Amino acid sequence: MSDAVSISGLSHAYNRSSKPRFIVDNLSLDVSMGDIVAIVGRSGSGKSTLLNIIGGLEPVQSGKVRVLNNTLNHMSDTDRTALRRSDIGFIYQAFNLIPTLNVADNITLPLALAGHTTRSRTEALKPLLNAIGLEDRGDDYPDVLSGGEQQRVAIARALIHKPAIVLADEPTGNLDAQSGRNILSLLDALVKEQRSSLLLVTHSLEVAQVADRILVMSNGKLLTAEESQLNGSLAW
Amino acid sequence: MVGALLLRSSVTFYRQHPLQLVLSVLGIILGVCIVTAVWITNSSSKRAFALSTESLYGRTTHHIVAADGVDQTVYSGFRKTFPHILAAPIIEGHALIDNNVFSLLGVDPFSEISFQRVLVQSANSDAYKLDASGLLLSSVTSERLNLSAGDVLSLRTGNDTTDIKLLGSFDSPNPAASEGMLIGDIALVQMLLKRGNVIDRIDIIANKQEATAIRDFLPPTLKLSNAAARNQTMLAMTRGFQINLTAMSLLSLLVGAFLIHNTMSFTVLQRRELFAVKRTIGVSVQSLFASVLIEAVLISLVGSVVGVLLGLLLAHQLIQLTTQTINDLYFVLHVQKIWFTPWLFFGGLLLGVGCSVLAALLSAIDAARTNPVQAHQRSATEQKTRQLLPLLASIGIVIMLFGVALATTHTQSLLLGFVALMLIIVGYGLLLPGISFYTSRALKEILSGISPILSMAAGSIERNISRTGLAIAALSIAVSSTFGVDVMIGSFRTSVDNWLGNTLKSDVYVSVPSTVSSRTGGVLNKTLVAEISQHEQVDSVSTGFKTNIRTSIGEFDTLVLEPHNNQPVGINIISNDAPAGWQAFISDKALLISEPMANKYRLSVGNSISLFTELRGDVEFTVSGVIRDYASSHGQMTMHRNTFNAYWKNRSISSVGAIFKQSTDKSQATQDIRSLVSSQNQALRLQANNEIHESSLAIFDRTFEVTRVLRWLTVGVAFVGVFSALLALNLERAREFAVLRATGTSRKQLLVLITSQTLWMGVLAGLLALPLGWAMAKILIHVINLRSFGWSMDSFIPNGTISSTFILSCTAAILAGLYPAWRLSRSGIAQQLRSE
Ligand SMILES: Nc1ncnc2c1ncn2[C@@H]1O[C@H](COP(=O)(O)OP(=O)(O)OP(=O)(O)O)[C@@H](O)[C@H]1O
Ligand SMILES: [Mg+2]
Repeated sequence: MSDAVSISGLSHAYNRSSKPRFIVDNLSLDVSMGDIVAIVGRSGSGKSTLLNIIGGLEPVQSGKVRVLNNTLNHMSDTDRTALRRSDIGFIYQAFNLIPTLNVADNITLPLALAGHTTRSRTEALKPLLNAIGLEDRGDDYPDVLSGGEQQRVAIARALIHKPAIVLADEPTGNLDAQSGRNILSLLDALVKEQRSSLLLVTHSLEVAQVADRILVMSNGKLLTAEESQLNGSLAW
Repeated sequence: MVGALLLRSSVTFYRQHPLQLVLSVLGIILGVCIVTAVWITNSSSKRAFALSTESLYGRTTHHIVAADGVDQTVYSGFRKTFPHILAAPIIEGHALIDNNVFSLLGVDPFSEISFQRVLVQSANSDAYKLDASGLLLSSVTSERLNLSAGDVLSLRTGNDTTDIKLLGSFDSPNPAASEGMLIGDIALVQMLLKRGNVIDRIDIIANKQEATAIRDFLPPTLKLSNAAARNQTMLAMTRGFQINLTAMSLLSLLVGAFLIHNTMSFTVLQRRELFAVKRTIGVSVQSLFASVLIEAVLISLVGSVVGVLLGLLLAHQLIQLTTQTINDLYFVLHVQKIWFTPWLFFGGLLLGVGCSVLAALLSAIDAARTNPVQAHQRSATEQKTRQLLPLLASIGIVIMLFGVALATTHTQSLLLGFVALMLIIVGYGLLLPGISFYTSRALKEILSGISPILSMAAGSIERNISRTGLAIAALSIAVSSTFGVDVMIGSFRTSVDNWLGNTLKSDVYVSVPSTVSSRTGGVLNKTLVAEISQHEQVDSVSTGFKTNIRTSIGEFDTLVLEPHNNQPVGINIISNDAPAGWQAFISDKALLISEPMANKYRLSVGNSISLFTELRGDVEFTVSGVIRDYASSHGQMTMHRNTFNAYWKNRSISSVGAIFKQSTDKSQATQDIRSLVSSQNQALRLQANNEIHESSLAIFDRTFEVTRVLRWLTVGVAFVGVFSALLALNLERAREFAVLRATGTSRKQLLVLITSQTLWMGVLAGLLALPLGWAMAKILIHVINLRSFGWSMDSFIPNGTISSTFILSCTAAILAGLYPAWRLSRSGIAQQLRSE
C-alpha cells in the first residue's frame, strides 16, 4: 500500500526581521493509508504549522512533502486546492465554521464546492447529521451552538466528502472529558468506516491512545514516544 | 487610564484598516468640500452684488426714471423746483476693452459729493481730476491691468471704438465692488454711449414728505421709484439660479451625509464583537461611547478642515462659472473676490463633524444596547434585521407616499419641494434592504442548480442583510442622485433644444451686436430693414425691439414684435385657446407673457398688468397668452409693434428675421443678405438660425457647467462611500474566505464568489437606483425647477445615462471586491485563519 503522507527533511521558519526562527527543522514522517497517528508536543512547538503544510495551506520552504503520491513542492495553488477539496478533511483548532452558513450548509460545503447537486448533498448530509447527533439542528447557525456541537459540525464537514486523509488539530481541545471522549470515538469510527488516514494533534494522552502511533513534536522534529515518557508528560 | 487604553485600541483598529480610515476621511472631505464651495460661491456673488449696489447707489433713496430715458431738461427743471433736495444725474452703460466688459458710469462730479458713493468714498483718489477730457478707472483694476494716468484706452461701445485718455484712478473702500468700473463726466459718457440729451435716471436723497412732494410734481411719464425696490428686482432675478445651485448642494449634502453615516456606522458595526469583549472585561458603556465619539470627532474634524479648505479652492472655480452665467443671463457682475467668513468655516466644520458624530452615535447606541453575549451571535443580529425588514419597508412606503403627496400639492414653496424630495429618498432607502433580501433569496434558489458558487454569492447577500442591505441602499441612493441630475439636465437641454427649433423660424437674423449678451440695445437702420423685406428672395420679415418696461409688479424685458405676416411664427403659446390669444395680441391692448412670469406672479390669460408707458403713464394691459420661453427665468413680455407704438415714441428696431421663399437657394439668399448688411456703415451681425441655435445651446451648457461639476463631485462622494462600505464588508469576512480556501475553494472560485457577490450588489443597486433617480428627476424638473425658474418641461432620459449609472455602481462594487481578494491571496490562508 502506498503512503498517505511522506515527509523528508522538512524545515520551516518564520522570519522575524532578519533572524529566521525555525519551527520545523529537518523533519521526517511517514503515514500509511488507514493509519491513525497522534502528534503531541508543547504549545508553540509547531504542530499546527506542520498540519498546515501537509494541507497545503503553508508553502513548503525546504525538504520534500508528498501527500497521496503528489509532491506538494511542485504543485500549483490550484492543484493543491483541488487535492484539498477531494482528498483532505481539515478540523481546526478553532472550529472555523462559516458564521453565515447554517449547520447543514457548513457541513455540505465541500460537496457544494465539488459541484454536487442539492439532492446528493442532502443525501450525504443525513447520515452524518445523525452520526454527530445533531439531526434537528441543520437549520441553526454556528454561533448558537455549544463548543462541542460546533466541533462535531466541523468534524462532519471534514468527513462528508470521504477524504483519504483527515487532519485534526486538537479536535477535543475545547471540550470536557466526556464530550471529548464522545467526539473522539465518533471521529475514530467515521475514519475507520471510511478507511481514511488520520493525523491527530492533541494535548491529551487519553486522546492519543486511540492512535496506532504517537509522535512527539520537539525542537522542530518528530520523535517516537516511549510509553514511559508519555506517562511523565501529562502536563501537555 | 481606561480612556487612553480605549483610544489606543481605536488607533490600532485604524492602523490595521488604513484604507478604511483614508476612505472615511476622504468621504467627509468631499462632502464638506462640495457644500461649502456652493455656500461660498453663492454668498460671494450676493456680496459682490451688495457691494456694487452700495458703490453705485450710496445714500440714494429714490430714482426719477422714465419709460425710455429721462430728458436732461427734467434734471434742470427739478433743480429749480427743489433746490434744497440733493439730486444727481446718472448714466449707466457698458463698454468693452479688449473684449472684457467694463461698467461705464457717467456722473456729475459736483452733485456726487453728497451721495457718498464710490467717487468720493476715498481720500486718496484722483477724483478731483475728473473732467470732460477722460475717464477714471478703479485702482484695483488699473493695478491689475498695469494702467496709469495718461494711458489711452481703446473703448468699444456699440459699433464704435473710441480712444480715450485715462485721467487717473479712484479708490474704493470695497475694492471688489469697484472692479472693472470706469467713471466719466456725464457729458462725455453721454457722447460715448450715444445717448443724446438723455440720461438714465436722477438719483435723489429725499425723506418721505419730500418724496410725496416730488411725486406730485412729476408728470405721469416720469416716475419716482424706490432705490430698495430696484435692488430687490435685480436680486430676485438671480434667485432662481442660486436656488438651483443650493438644491444641487443640498442633494450632494444628503448623499454625502448618508455616505458619511454609512462609513461611520460600518466602522462601529465591524467592532461589535470587539466592543462586546471589552464590555465583558468590564469597560463601561459610557467610556465605550465616549471613545467612539472622540474617534468620530477626530476623524471628522480632520476631514472637515481639509474639506472646507478644498471647498474654498473649488469656490474659486465655481465663481468663475457662476459669474459667467449671471453675466450671460442676468446682468453684469464683477466678482473677483471670494467672500469667506468665519461663519462659513464653522458651518462647514459643523456639517462634517455633526453628520459623522450623529452617525457614530446611532451605531454606538445600537452596539451598546446589544448585550455582550448577543454581540457574538451574528445570526441573532441577522435574524433581528430580517424580522425588521417588512416593518422598515412599510414605514418606507408610508414616508414615500407622504413625500409624493407633498410633491404634488399646489404650493410655490421650494422648501416643501425639498422636503418632499428628501422624504422620497429616505422612504425608498428604507425599502431597499427588503427588496435586496428577497431578490437575493430568489436568485440563490435559481442559481443553486446551476452554479453552487454563484448561488453562495447570492446567498451571502441574503444572510448578511444587516450590512449588505445598508451598502446596497447607500450605493443605490448615491447612484440614483447622479442619474436623477443627469435626467434633469438632459430633459432641460432637450426641451430648450426643441423650443429653439420651434422659435427660430426665420432663416436668417440680422441684429446689432450688443456689448453684453443679456442686453440688446443697438438700433438697426430703417432703410436696411426695408431693403431686406423687399429683397426678391425674402418671403416675409419679422422685426423685434428689445426694451425694458416698468410695471406694477417690477421691471421686465420686453420684446416689441412685428410678426411675420401677423402669424404666430416661432411663438409657442401654451395657454388655452392659442388662436384667440394671438388674435387679441394683434388687435387689442394685450400682451403675451413668458411662462416664468406667469408662474412667478400667478398671472394667467385675462389678468391685467399696469405698464408704465412713455406717452400715457400707467396703462392697464391684458394678458392674452402665455408663451414658452427658456431665455429668461425672470420673465419676459412680448408686445405687438402696433400696440407699443400707440403708447411709446420709440420706433427703433434692434433685430430683423427673414424667411426665404420656398424655392430659394438658402445659402445664396443668405449671401445676398450678407452683402446688403455689409454695405451698411454699421457693424451688424447676421446669423443663420442654426448658428443662433448652437450658440444658445452653448450658453445653456455653460449655465449647467456648475451643476455638472457638482454632479461629478457627488459621483466622487458616492464612489468613495460605496467603495468603503463594500470594502469593509469584504475585509470583515477575510477569515471566512480563508476557511473557504482551506476547505477546497480555489483562488479563482473565491474571486468569482467575491466579485459576483459585489457585482450582484452593484447590479441590484443600479437597478433599484433607476426608479428613484427617475422620481428625483421628476421632482427636480416639475417641482424644484418649476418653482425656482418657472419653466415647465418634459422629461427625457438622455442616451447612455442608464448604462453609465450601471457602470458607476458596478465599477465601485467590483473594485471593492477585488481589493480584499487580492489582499487575501497575498497574506496567505494560514495567516488569515490564525487572525483573531
Ligand atoms: N505567521 C507567523 N509568523 C510568525 N510566527 C508564527 C506564525 N505562525 C506561527 N508562528 C509561530 O510558530 C510557532 C508554532 O506555532 P504553531 O501554531 O504551529 O504551534 P502549536 O504547536 O500548534 O501550538 P499550540 O499547541 O499552542 O496550538 C509559534 O511560536 C508561533 O508563534
Ligand atoms: Mg496549534
